[in-house]
Amino acid sequence: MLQPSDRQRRLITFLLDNLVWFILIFILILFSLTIDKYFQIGIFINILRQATFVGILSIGLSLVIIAGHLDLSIESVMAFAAMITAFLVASGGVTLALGINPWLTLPAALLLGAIVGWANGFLVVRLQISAFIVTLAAFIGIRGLGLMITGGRSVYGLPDPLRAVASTTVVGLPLMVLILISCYALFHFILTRTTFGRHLYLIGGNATATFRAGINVKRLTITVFMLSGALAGLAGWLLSIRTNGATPNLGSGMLFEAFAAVVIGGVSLQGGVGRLTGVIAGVLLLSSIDTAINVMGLPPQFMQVIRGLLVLFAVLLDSLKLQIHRRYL
Amino acid sequence: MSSDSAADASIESSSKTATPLLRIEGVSKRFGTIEALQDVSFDIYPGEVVALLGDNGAGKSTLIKIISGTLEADSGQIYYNGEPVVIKSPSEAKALGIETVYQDLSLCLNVDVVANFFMGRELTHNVLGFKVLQEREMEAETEQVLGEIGTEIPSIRTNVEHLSGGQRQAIELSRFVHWGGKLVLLDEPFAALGVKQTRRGLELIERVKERGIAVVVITHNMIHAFQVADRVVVLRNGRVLGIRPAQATNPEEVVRLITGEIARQSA
Amino acid sequence: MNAYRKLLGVLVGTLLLFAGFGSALAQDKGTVVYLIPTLLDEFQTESQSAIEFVFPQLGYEVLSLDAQNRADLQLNQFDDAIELEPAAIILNAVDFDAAITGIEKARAAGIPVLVYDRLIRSIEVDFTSVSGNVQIGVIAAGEIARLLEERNGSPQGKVLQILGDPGDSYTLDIQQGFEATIAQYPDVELITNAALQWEATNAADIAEQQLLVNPDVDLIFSHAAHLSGAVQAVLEAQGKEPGDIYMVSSNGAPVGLSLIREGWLQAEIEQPLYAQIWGLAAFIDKIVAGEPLEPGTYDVLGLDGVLTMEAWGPNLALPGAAITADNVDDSRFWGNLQTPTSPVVPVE
Ligand SMILES: Nc1ncnc2c1ncn2[C@@H]1O[C@H](COP(=O)(O)OP(=O)(O)O)[C@@H](O)[C@H]1O
Ligand SMILES: [Mg+2]
Repeated sequence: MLQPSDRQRRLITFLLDNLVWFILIFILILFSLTIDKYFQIGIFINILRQATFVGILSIGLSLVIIAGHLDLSIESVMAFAAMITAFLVASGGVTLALGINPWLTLPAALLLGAIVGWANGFLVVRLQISAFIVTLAAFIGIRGLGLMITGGRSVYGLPDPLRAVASTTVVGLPLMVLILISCYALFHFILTRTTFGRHLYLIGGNATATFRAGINVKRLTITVFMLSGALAGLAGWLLSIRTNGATPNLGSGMLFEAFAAVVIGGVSLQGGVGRLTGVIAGVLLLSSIDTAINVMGLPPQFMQVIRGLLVLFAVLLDSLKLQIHRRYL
Repeated sequence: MSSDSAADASIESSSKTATPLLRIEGVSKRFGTIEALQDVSFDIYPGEVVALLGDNGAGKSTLIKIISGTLEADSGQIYYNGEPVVIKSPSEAKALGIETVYQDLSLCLNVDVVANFFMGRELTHNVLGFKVLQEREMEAETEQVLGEIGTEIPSIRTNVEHLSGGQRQAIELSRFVHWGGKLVLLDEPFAALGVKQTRRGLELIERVKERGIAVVVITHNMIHAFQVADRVVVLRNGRVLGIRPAQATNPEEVVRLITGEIARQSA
Repeated sequence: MNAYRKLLGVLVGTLLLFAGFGSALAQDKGTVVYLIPTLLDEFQTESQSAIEFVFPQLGYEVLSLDAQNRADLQLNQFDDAIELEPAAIILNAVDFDAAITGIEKARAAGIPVLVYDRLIRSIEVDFTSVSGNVQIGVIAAGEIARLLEERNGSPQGKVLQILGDPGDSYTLDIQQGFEATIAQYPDVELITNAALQWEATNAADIAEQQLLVNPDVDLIFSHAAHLSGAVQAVLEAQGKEPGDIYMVSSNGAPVGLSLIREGWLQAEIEQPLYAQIWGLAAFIDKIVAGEPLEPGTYDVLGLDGVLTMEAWGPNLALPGAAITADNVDDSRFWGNLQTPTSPVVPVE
């Protein structure tokens, strides 16, 4: 009696937990059957490559949300990091055109993101200001900071070694895609297998209990904001390589895409719940739909509507999952 | 009653010879205009069970939180094994061997029983600088401890949100039994428990006491208090109204102390 | 002696300008408020610099307000501007229809409204200085036909058109002029996608997708140079050389000129940013004084500006120009960021 119900329960849980993947596979099959030229390796690689930036942003966002906070600053941090990368070493537009080793821009971008993240975390933890307000301020302010540095102008023409990052492929996969996959693998491991990851879930579930258990909640919270910032810095560095420079509105709209991906991927905005395996599926789902719309030549307004419906669907799905769990498991 | 007299003997010998495990001296705490604790002093000896009694709002939880490092006292001094200590955080309290069960449960509902049981004490091994969780070891240990305590939980891999109130409290209790180092603080630990589970809870207190661990237990149930306590400490409006050996007083007197029918008496 | 004093004057004037004390010069004729739609676009940023450079020379103080692409914010700025009782308001609208209430209010308060760059046809204003985005589309189509002929022997081939934000009439006007003209060439196949919010990454994504499903694309026409910048990065990442796929874009931003010099971009249709502003400045005194304007052809920074009386008021149209490798270094192109030194010649 107990044995089969246990197995059934596990099956249902598995299906519910991986629902986004099933939707993604369903959509990919649907598009492949209905859209001319959609089914080819190149298209799938493009879907992955174009998911790089929102994908990396979504990792940081997920970490912060799982720990029970929010980070709205990531898009601006990404844009700012892209701007700084270009500003330091690009050859055209508003640039310092420093003759430094171009690879130094990577630690610069990461550091920049980590510093912003530290400031966010510090204000949230020490001054007890809500993360929403703190990171909203950063979202607005840091976009402005990028504009100030370049006077609202573009920077373009990165040095060859950096540009090579965009064109390099390893065993048929673009380097960008490998970076994306590595980031997901690393942070999935951290979240599910290490004490750090475990503690993020604990904080998101009940910060008071976690504190009482002797866990340094404040330090962990600051760390998670720094990670989110550094990941945004990485995304920015890659984005400037992708577009061979930086424009004032670079990456605008990606914050909401990342939020949509994270929610579709099953991360609860309440904190404490969610897995990166779901998030990457959410990111790829959005990327696949964008690609389909581009290839079909549909009016781009469709994208917005479809995304809106998807987010709504994800939220409905979440409450449905909870009900199924309550009633049958 | 034989256990009572045994405890009696141990108190008398320890109060004469040993230093107290924990000494609280003149501790005060205010919340705005509310004086939650005023000049509170008492001692706890190793292997002793102290019942901390008092009406709602008397300051019991506040006192527990100060000892466990969750709150800071405004004034006063705490001695641990005769040494003056400042307990600034729960992790410092744990390092001293103080384990606490709080009145509002300290569980994370979003993770499973194992994760809750090992909260802050995860078993890990080092992989390339990462502290990697040893899930299997933790699972086995949790299973064993819960089994010893006799708690029935269908699967220790289910999230705590799917467990009943009693099962949740049982996890809390299993934590203090297993992790209790030298001093265990229990703030109304039986509030959500049924009759049978409460009896088991009282047995658990006896068990840790036998291991030489000191226990401070808060309860509103006089029968429970007198069943396990060696001494009772009565708080009223943030002040210590009386400290009595359990067999030198009775529930009626304590109730009158709690409700203020007996004025302050020196202990 | 005289030359020395003049130089000193210029020096002091420049210093004051740089220190933000431009107002010191300008008390006499009042304030001109410039309502900018966004500063996330280089064209707009440069237009602000140019307006803040030119109008103080004529004795006007300039106050620039950025609407951050929000039509509602621009309406609030209209209200604020009216309170300041400026000599004139220069409007570069976020949204044509939304701006109408603001225009009506300002003109009812006796403040002349001059429309810059984004043409508004549905209401009368005091002056309009535009390059005509439809016209830019027409010029682009001509250039593209020429390039396809150069490439394929006759005007035929596949063109990928990358619009800006589909909610922005700036891009829709270019599209209209472009598509109407390119339709004359039946052998040109057109694919159209839009880069939401004029965001460069979106343009890169589009180029990448289309090159997969339509690898035989001959030419990519982006509605702004910074989109071409991202497209070029994609082409390069795919191992393409300059000229393998032709590129054309419109607006003439610095990155476009740089791409022309590198050989990636074959033509850039520039908006005559400076001429449009010099045109506004040439007429400002008359407009503020309420004097009638004469239709006709006026020389503005060497371009033939045609002033006509339209339903929406006096309209100065300035021709856009095609920039190619042959003329890319010409300083009149705003993408070279050399603000013209020629003084404004007020219309008599
Ligand atoms: N965090 C707090 N802020 C303000 N007042 C508090 C706080 N915690 C406790 N108090 C007040 O301090 C007094 C003692 O509370 P508590 O220690 O919880 O009492 P008990 O546990 O004995 O019922 C009460 O009056 C309570 O309202
Ligand atoms: Mg209490």
